[in-house]
Parts: sequence; structure tokens; C-alpha cells
Amino acid sequence: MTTDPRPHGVATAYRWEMEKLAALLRVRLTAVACFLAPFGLVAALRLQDAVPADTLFGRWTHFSGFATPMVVLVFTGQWALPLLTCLVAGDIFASEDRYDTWKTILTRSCTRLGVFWGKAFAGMTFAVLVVVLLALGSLAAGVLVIGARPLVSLSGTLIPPGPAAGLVLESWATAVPPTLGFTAMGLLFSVATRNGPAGILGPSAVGLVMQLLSFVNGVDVLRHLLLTTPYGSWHGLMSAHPYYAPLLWGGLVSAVYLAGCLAAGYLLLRRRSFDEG
Amino acid sequence: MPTTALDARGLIKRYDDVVALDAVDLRVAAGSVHGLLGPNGAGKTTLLRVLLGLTHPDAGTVHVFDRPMSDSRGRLQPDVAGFAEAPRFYPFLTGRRNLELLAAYDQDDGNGRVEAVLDRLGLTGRAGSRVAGYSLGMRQRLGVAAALVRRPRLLILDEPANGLDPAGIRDLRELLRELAADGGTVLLSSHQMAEVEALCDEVTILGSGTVVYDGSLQRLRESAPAPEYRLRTVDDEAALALAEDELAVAAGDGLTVRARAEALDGYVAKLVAAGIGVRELHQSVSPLERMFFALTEAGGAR
Repeated sequence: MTTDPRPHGVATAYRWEMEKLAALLRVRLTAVACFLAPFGLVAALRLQDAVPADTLFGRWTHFSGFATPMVVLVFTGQWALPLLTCLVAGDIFASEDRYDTWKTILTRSCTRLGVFWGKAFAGMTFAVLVVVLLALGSLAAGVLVIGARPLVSLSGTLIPPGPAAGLVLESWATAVPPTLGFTAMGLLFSVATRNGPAGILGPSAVGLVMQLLSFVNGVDVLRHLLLTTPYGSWHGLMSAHPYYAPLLWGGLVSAVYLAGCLAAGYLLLRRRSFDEG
Repeated sequence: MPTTALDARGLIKRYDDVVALDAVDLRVAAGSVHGLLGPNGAGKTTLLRVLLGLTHPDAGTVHVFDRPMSDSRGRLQPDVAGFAEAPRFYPFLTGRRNLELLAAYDQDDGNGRVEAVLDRLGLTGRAGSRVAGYSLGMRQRLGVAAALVRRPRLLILDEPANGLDPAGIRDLRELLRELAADGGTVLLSSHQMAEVEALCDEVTILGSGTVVYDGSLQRLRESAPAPEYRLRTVDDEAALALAEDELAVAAGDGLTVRARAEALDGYVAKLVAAGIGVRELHQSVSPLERMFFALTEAGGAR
């Protein structure tokens, strides 16, 4: 083998993956839905007298617009974000199998490493975009429809509108690491199964099982190792006396899932022989 | 400048108990159009996948222009392009965007090359349409265009005429001849002898994963058996009785005649002299096709 000084082509692969994603209707619809769905939620809550009192911040949804993004964060962190992020990540490698285009791109000058990271970064970009759109959409919906009134913290103290907006955005930012962890899991499922539906639904099923495990009493150590647990690490920010240990631990757990899934995915792709399709 | 564009030696590829390639050697001279023939399942596509770096062989080496086929990062040498089986593209992108994407993957901005190859392959008018709406023939032409965007010195094509209409086939042949005339090298895989005869001087024939013939078409022609003709007369029984030895045999509605030109001329003259009218006479299997069948069905020797 000879050494080739040409780059791996990560930036090229990333740019074109983003263009391909932008051309897909389901990706555009998902992005729009992430921004607009909170408006529907707020409208539905306004039409009824009852509030989702069993959800954190749920009882304040008629009182403060800043409660809306927190309710959406709690719900999506538990049930929706793994699925939403995997709509892209879980299909981004499998789609090459579906279109039979691996042989088209792997006979060019990008390396497999370049293609892998281009796709991985594109999947992670979409994951961050989903979180940002949900955060901004739910914040805008709450403030515009309910009003920018003070938010009641988890400790029962009132947080003025300005700091409340900042804390809401910081809380949403804590959802990024575990979402990236699920994104990496989606990428791994996509490479390993070569099947879009399996890549999309597999990590969601894993997230669901993790969520159920977290409800089981007496397995505290296990709970700390679950990728769903960091979705609750914002609790420390919304306390009268902030604490950051869950944030740091959640970041570490997310990073381990991220690195492990990406490494496994890359190894699978690097070793794959395209004997068919 | 290397005189050998492609030099593959001792290629072996197994799938469980099936040996798809069994110590296959293939040498393609620079500046030639080299045919790769074989029936379905002979190993042609597996060989092309190995040559394009998509499939890892269990043993053997491949060099292009005296360099290993893949660089240290596992990618194909920049002067090789082509496709194995039908070329595939992103159906939701236009033909032009697909080519621009592939040019970018070659770390090349295209620089007018995309438009030039679209024009050369007669695709300019549909380049702005999504590939999902392309016919099979248009996809084949886009596949050739995608390969040419890479400016290859060695072009590897698998059944490129599939789905093309007669005019498309004529244009493709013209294009490949031009490429060879400009010093390019083409490895053309086909299961149609006529396609290879029209373009190639050298040919490699695969049968059940092994090379059963490797050499010039001229040498193959010289060693080929007599061509096969289809003959229908006003009285096939009487015509058969006039045939010497095993020159003609009954074949349903008509006769099958295996004869070289002189013997055929003599036979037809005898039929006419005997008052047996000839209603139909045409070559049904060419000598090269008969040779091809003989080699691949009997597992002939090099």
C-alpha cells in the first residue's frame, strides 16, 4: 500500500450529508414539527382547566410561560428525544444500503473514515438542531401564549423572568449530551443492522427499557449508568441552591456512550466487505 | 509510462463453500479496451468488486499502473473509476447534483467537468431532474458520466449497455473508442459476445470462477468452431437427407446447420440443384459465441 497525502474528506462528506438531509421531506417536517408542536401543546393546555400536575412544572403551565419549555423538556427527555434524533442517525448509514449507493461513494476519493465522520457529524448536527428547535419553540410558545411571568423553582422560590429564561435554556442545554449519546447509538444501529427502521426504533426501544429500569427501586448504581438519567440532570440548575454533580456525571456517562457507539460503528464500517448491494 | 494498466494476480474469493474466484489472473494493457466475458455466476461481478476495492479478496494482489490498487487509507487509486453491477444514485437528488456530489467526494470542484460529461453523455436536458424519474438507460449513462467525472486512466464498466437503446449503444461504443484512442484504458464486462466483439481486441473469459480463456479475439476466432445457421426450406426432410455427415440436424421447425462458409455454399448449391427452395437462412450463433459456450460450459483450458 502507498501513503496518500490527500485528506480523508470529512468536511466534504459532512457538507454533502447535510445537503442530502435538507433534501429529505421527513427531515424538514421533523424540524418544523419540533418548533411548532409546543405551540399546539400550549394551545391544548389553555383550552382545558386541568394542568399536568403530575409532571414537574406542570402545575405552573397556566401561570408562567417559562413552565412550558420545562414540561416539554421533561416529556421529550423521557420519551421523545431518542426517537427524534434517531430519525436521522438511525437511517443515515442504512439509507446507503437501501439506495445501494455504498459502491457509488466508496469508489471515490473519500476514505471510509471520512464518510463515517461526515455522516456522524451530520447526525449529531441534526440532534443538536432538534434540541434547539424544541427549546426555542417551547420557550416562544410559553412566553407568547402564557406570558413572561416569574417561574417557580423546584425549591418553591420565584425566579424572575430574565434569569428564568436563562435557566430554561441552560436546562435544555443539559439535554444535548444524552441526545448525542442516543444519536451515536442510532448511528451504531444503522451501521450494524443496515436497516433504517431498526436504526430508528432500536435506540428508542433501548431508551424505553432504560426509562423503565430507572423506575425500579433499589438499583441506584444502575440508574446512574443509564443514558436516560442525564436527561434529569437539569434539576440541579432549578434549585434555590444549585448543584452540578448530576450534570458532570451525566456528561461523563453520555460521553462514554457516545465514544463507545461511535468506535464500534466505525470499526464495523471499516471492516465491512461490500460483497452484495 | 506503464504498459500495463491493470495487473491482478492470484485472486481468490470464497463465500463459505463457494469459490467465486479461483486464482484469477487478469492483465489489461494500457490504452486498450479489454473485454471480460462470462455467463451469469462466472465471477465477473465479484472480480469487478475486488478491482474497485469494494470486496476484500481472500488472496491475491491488484496493481493499477504499477501501484497497489488501494492507498494506505483503503481508497481506490485516483486514476481508476467505474461501477460494478448497475450504477446507483441518490434518487431524491438531481442527476447534476449527484455528479457534483461525487466530484466533491473526489475532492474536486468539478470545474466545468460535470457539465462537460453531462453533455457528452446526452444528459444535459434531464440533468436538473431527480434521478428517481430516470429510465434504466439514463441511469446507465449517468453511471458512465459519474466515472468520467473522475478523469480516470482506467475505466471499469459492468454491462454499461444495459437498458440503452440502439442509438445509446452506438454512442457508448463511440465514446469508449474515443477514450481508448486518447490513451485511456477500458475494462468492459459483458455477457454478450457481440458487445465485446464490437469494441475489444483482448478478452478474458471467466467460467465458474476461473479464467478459461485469456488472449486476443483474433486467436479466439481462429480456434473457434464453425458458426451455426438456421435454415428453413420447402422440404426440410429432403434437405436433411442431402446434408453430409453432421452438417445439418433437424431442429423443430427447420434445420440447424453448422458449417464454415465454403461448406455452407456447397450445401446451398446442392439444395438448389435438387430443386429444394430455401426460405430462410441466417446465422444464429457466431463462431465466437460457439467458442464462448464451449469454453464456459465445458470449463475449457487457457
